[in-house]
Amino acid sequence: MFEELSARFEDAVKGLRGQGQISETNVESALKEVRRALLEADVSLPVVKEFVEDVRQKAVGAEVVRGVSPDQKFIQVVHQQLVDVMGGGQFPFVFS
Amino acid sequence: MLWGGDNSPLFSAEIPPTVVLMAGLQGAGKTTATAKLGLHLKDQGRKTLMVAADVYRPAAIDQLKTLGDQIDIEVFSLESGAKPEEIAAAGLEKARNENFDTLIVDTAGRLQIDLEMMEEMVRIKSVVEPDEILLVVDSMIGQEAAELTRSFHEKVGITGAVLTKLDGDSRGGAALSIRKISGKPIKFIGTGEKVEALQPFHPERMAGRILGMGDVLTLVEKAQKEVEIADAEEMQKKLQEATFDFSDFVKQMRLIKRMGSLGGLMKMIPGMNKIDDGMLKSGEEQLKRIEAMISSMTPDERNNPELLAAQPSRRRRLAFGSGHTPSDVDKVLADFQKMRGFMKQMSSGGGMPGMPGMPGLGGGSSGINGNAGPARISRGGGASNAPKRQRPLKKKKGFGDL
Ligand SMILES: Nc1nc2c(ncn2[C@@H]2O[C@H](COP(=O)(O)OP(=O)(O)O)[C@@H](O)[C@H]2O)c(=O)[nH]1
Ligand SMILES: [Mg+2]
Repeated sequence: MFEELSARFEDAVKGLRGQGQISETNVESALKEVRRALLEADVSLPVVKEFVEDVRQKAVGAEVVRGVSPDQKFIQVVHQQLVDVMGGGQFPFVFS
Repeated sequence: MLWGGDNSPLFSAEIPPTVVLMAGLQGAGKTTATAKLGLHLKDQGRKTLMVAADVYRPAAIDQLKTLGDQIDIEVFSLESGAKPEEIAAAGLEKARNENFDTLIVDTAGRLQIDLEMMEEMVRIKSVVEPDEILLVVDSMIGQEAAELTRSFHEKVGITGAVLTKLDGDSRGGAALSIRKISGKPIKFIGTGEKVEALQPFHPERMAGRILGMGDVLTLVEKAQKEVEIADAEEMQKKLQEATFDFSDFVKQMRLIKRMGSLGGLMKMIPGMNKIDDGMLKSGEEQLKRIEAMISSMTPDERNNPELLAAQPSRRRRLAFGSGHTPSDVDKVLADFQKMRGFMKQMSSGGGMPGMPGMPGLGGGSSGINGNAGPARISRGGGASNAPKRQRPLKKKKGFGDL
């Protein structure tokens, strides 16, 4: 069911490969692909917009540690954002 | 916690029965989800009563009864003519009298969001006072899930959602909207028509399904972990030597953020694994306050906290610059010093014998000196008591008396 989305994201990061850092400029096309992928997955527009902005904020200037390339880092940021949007944060449980 | 796992568990009431109200549009999968949930709970050893409160379609009651027979869970309903809230109330009564520990109320949906449906939900809600109101959302509706979630949450108030029909060719977009719009978690997903086809929702797994590329994530995580371990080791050395200053503190904060929580960091420091969540939470709040003040410090002050102890004018400037009162600043500085002493004590392997809380970090400040005293003495003669390193500890008093 999600295969197309997955392929999209793979395309999204191609432009970041071989870059030193994730910057405002080189992240732009990757973000555009993320946006398109989410819209194609039928995510509602306001949610997409916020998602993309959050990814931008977290990705640009993110520390890319040794052994990791910017496109890989970008994938991780997107993944983390997906997790956060769908269920990050605490839901303290009350129980008997 | 009855529901285990890293997903958001279902509420469990202190006094049984736990009441779960199912809401959603017609065809979303409410009746199916009611039975699935009943079975899921049965597997957990819970005794469930299912209530058929969809009075508009006699077939709906039969549907639930058939499912109930199939999984051997009792279904309660009233003769035709009863209002949904009356059925729900009578069901609750029965559950109480007959020691059911869970009551699941299946309700009637509408084809579209409408006022009548919302009002009916609100009436049922006020009668049975549910512990959980689960919005059942058909994942096929995609982006419409946003509007659906918004109106149910505004008018009825939900505690979570069940996302159904994820086995179909849905593109999954609904999963992103629900939590974003309502702030409430998806608790379960439906992955088939069969009663067994219910799974607790795991955001990590869903993100993995959406994005794929698990190998890349593993690689990035591993590389970062290595850097973190190196950082943590360096930090631990500074902690032990009590040379930890505000610059280190900022680094530490970054480390904490990267690792997602203070808890994650603490686990990497030997002897620090006995701290409970409450302490960590207040600790994290305190850390944020300190961070705000640090951003108003000069580089000198960051590298040499004693400067602030010695000069009240610096403390006043800091208070002004960070938008706090001078006594806030004094408190934070005192706590920082306590934290320093505390961390030193902790990280030199002493564990936390008899620590009632987490002074300094937790903001509840009494006790640290009392605890630090004996602990220091018992480890007397160790490298950490070298004269040079005692100076910051002495100064600590200065902060304490501010
Ligand atoms: N494939 C699939 N079908 C489902 C799922 N959940 C419910 N259904 C089907 O969706 C239809 C409507 O379900 P029902 O429970 O009657 O919806 P209700 O009107 O909200 O009570 C039925 O044919 C169910 O078998 C699911 O997770 N996967
Ligand atoms: Mg139904």
